[in-house]
Amino acid sequence: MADRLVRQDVWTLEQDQRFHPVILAYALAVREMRTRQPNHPTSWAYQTAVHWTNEPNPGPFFNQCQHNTWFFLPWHRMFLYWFEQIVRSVLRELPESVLQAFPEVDEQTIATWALPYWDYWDPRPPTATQPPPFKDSLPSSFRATTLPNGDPNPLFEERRNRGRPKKALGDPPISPVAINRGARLPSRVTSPHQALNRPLFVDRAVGFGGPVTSFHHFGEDQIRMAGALELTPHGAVHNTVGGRGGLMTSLRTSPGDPIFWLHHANLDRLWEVWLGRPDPSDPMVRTNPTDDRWRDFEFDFKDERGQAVREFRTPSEVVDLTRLGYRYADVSWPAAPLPPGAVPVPPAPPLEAAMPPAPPPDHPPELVGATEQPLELRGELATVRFPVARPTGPLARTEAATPSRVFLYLDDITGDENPGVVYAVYANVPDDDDDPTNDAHYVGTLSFFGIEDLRDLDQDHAGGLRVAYDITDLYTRLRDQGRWNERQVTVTFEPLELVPAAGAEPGGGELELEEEAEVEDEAVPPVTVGRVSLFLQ
Amino acid sequence: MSARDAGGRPRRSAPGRVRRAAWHHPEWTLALVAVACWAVLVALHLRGGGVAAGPAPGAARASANATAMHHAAMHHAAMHHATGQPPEGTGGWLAAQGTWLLMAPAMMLPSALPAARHVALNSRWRRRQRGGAVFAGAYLAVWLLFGLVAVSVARLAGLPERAGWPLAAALAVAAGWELTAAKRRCLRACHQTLPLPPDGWKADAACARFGLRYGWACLGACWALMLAMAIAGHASLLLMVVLTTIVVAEEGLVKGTRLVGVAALVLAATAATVAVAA
Repeated sequence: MADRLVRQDVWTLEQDQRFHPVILAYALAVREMRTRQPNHPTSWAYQTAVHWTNEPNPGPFFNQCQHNTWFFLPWHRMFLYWFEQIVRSVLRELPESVLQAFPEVDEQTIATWALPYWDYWDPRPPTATQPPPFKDSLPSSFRATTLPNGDPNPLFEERRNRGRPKKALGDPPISPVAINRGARLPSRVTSPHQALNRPLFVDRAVGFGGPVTSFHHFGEDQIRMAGALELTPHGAVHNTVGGRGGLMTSLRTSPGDPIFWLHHANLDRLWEVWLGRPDPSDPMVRTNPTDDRWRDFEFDFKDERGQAVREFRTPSEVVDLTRLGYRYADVSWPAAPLPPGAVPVPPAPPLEAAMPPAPPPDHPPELVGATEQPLELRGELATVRFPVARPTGPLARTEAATPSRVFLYLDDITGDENPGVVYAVYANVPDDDDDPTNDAHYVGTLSFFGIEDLRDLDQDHAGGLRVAYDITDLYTRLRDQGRWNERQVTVTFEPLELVPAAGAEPGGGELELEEEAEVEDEAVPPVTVGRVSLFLQ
Repeated sequence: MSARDAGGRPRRSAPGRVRRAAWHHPEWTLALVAVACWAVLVALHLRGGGVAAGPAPGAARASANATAMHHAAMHHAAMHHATGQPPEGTGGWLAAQGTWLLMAPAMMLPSALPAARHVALNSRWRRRQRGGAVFAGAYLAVWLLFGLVAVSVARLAGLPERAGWPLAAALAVAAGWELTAAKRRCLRACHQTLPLPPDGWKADAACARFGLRYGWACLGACWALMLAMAIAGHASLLLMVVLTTIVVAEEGLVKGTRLVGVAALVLAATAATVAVAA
C-alpha cells in the first residue's frame, strides 16, 4: 500500500522556505483554476459555489455547505478531499511553460501534493515580540502581493481584515494591524482548547461536532447553533481574517480566499486531535456518532473529471483518514496558553482529561434568568445584567439542588451585516475589578459567521443565531470561592482587536496599498443579541 | 440506590420514562388538544351528523370503483341525504364555525408543536405550560379569524350545495400556491423565533407576539389549503388527513421547502379526484 500523503503545517513549510514548492504549487493551481469556465468542477468559481451560491435552483451540487449541524465536520472533510483531488489534477495538467518558469514545482512535488493546514494556535501572549514568525499571523506567502518571479500572487487577497479604522490613525498612515501586514489573531479567536475539551460529539447543549439535524445548509432549523469547534476557532477565524466586507467573513465568498482551504484543513486536523485524545485505551476517548442518520447521509460532489462521485460522500466513508489516503503531520494536543515571559513547554493534556464526565441529568436545563431587552453590540465594550431566581423544576427536587451543568445562552442574534468584529464573553466580573475582561471570568468567543444571510427569506435561512457556552467550571469555581452571585448575572462583551505585529518578520508588510490609509472611521454595523440567559441543569 | 444501564444512566421505570418525556416535551398538552379535536371530529363523522355543515362536494354520482377520496366525498353526500336537511341560515353558519373551531386546532396545531416546545423550554419552569398556551392561543386566533372570514364568505357566496367544483378549484389554487416563491418565503418565516423575556407580562406579551407572528407566517404558507377546508366544511376526514400531512411535513421538516413540488402534485391530484367525483 502506498504511503499516505501528508498534509503539512503551512508555517513549517514557510520556515523551511518562503514560497515552499508545496505552497507555490498551490498558488499555480489557484491561478489556473481561476481561468477555467465557472461551470466546470475544476474551476475556482465552481468550488466556491459548491459551498454557497445565491443562484436560484442551483441543483444538488451547489449550495451544499453544512453549518450549525453535526454534518459540519464530515461535509467539509469531503469538500476538502475532492478539492484536493482537483488541485492535484490541475497541477498535473499545467502547461510545460508554467512548469519551466517554476522549476521548484517538480514532478515529485505534484505527485505528493497535499493541502497544507494553517495551525493558527500560538501559545505566546500578545506582548511577545520574539521570535517571529507567529503562527497566528497569516502565512507570509499569502500576504505577498507577488510571486518570486514578480507575477501577481494568486494567494494574496486584498479583501481581508484591515483592522478597526480607528487604529489606522497616526504614523505610519497604513494600519499596522491589517491582517495582510502580519497582524496576529487574538488567542481568544484561535484557541481550539474549549472545543477540544468538549467530551461529546453531540450534546444537548453544546457538543464538539454540532447538533443533530437533517441536511442543514445553515439555518433551516429553529435551533441555529454551531458546535463548539464550528463556533471557535472556525467562525471566529473566518470573521477575524475577513474583517468587515472581507471574503472570509461571508459564507457566500469565503472559499474564494485561498486561505479558506488551509483554515478548514486545520479544523479537519483538529477533529483528528479531538478523537485521539488522550489515548485509545482511556475511557475518555472521544468517538464519532454511531447513529446511521449521521453515518449514512449522502452528499453530492463532482470529481476532477466532472463526474458525480460514488465514494467518499457519506460521513462513514470519511471518518478513517487511512481510507482517504492522507494524514496530518501533527495531531498532538495543542500547547496551553503561555503567560507573558514564559517559554514554550511540550504540550500535555490537561488533568481534567482523565476524569470521565458524569452523564447529563435526566431533566432538561432550566431557565433561571434572562435579559428582558435585546442588547445591541456596536464594537465597544458592553455589559448586561439580569436577575436570577432559584430553580423550581426537577433540579430543585434533587438531593443537593446543585446544578451539574450550567449554560449561558445567547439567543436570536441578528444583524443586517457581519461587522467583522468578534467578541470575548465574560460572566460575573466583579464591579470592583479594574479589568472588565478578567481572564478568570472568560466564557467563550462570539462570532457571527453567516449572520447576514439569516434575514434572507429567499434563501434557506431565517431567524437568528443561537450560541451556548458551558460555564459549569466557571460557576463551580466561583461558587466554591463564595463569589458566585446567586441573585444576578453580569455578562460582558469585549470586542477583540487584531494584535499589532510587533517584531514581525522584515517585509511582513509588503503591502504598498496607500489607499488603505484612507479608510474612514466608520461606525461598526450593529448586531443584536435578542436575549442573554442562564440555564441550570 | 437505583440500577444503572450500560451508559451509566439510572434505569428508569415506566412512570419515570413518562415523567422524563413530559419534562423534555412540555408541548404534550397541546398535542393532546389536537388529538382531542381529531377524536371529536371522527366521532361526529361516525355518528353521521353532528356539527357538520357547509356546502359539501357533490359526490352522489361517484362510480363504484372511485378512489378513496371519492368514497369519502360520497359518504358525506350520503350523510346529508340521511339527515335530509342541509344546514342553512344562521344555524348553518354557526355549525360551520363550530366545525372550524375543531378543524383548525386539529389541522394546524401539530405543525406548531416544535415552536410551542421552543417557547416552553425557553420559559421559566413554572411558566412552561402557560408560555406554550399563550403562544398557541395567539397562533390559533389567527386561524380562527381566518375561518370566521373564509367560512362566512364561502356561505355568502352561495356556492352550490351539491357541486364539487368550488372545492376542486380551491385545491387547484392551493396546488398553484405551492409553487410560488411567496409560499417558500412563508415556510422559511415559520422557522423564525423571537426573544422571550423570562417573567411577568413581558413574557406573556412576547409569547403572544411570537404566536401571532408564527400564525401570520403559517397563514401565508397554508391559506390556500385551509381555504379549501373552509369551502369543503366537514367534507372529508381523508381530505383533512392529506392536508394536515402536507402542512406538518412542510413546516415541520428542516427542508420543507423542498417538498412544495410533491405537495403541489398531491393537491393537484386531489383536486382532479374531487372534480371527477363532482
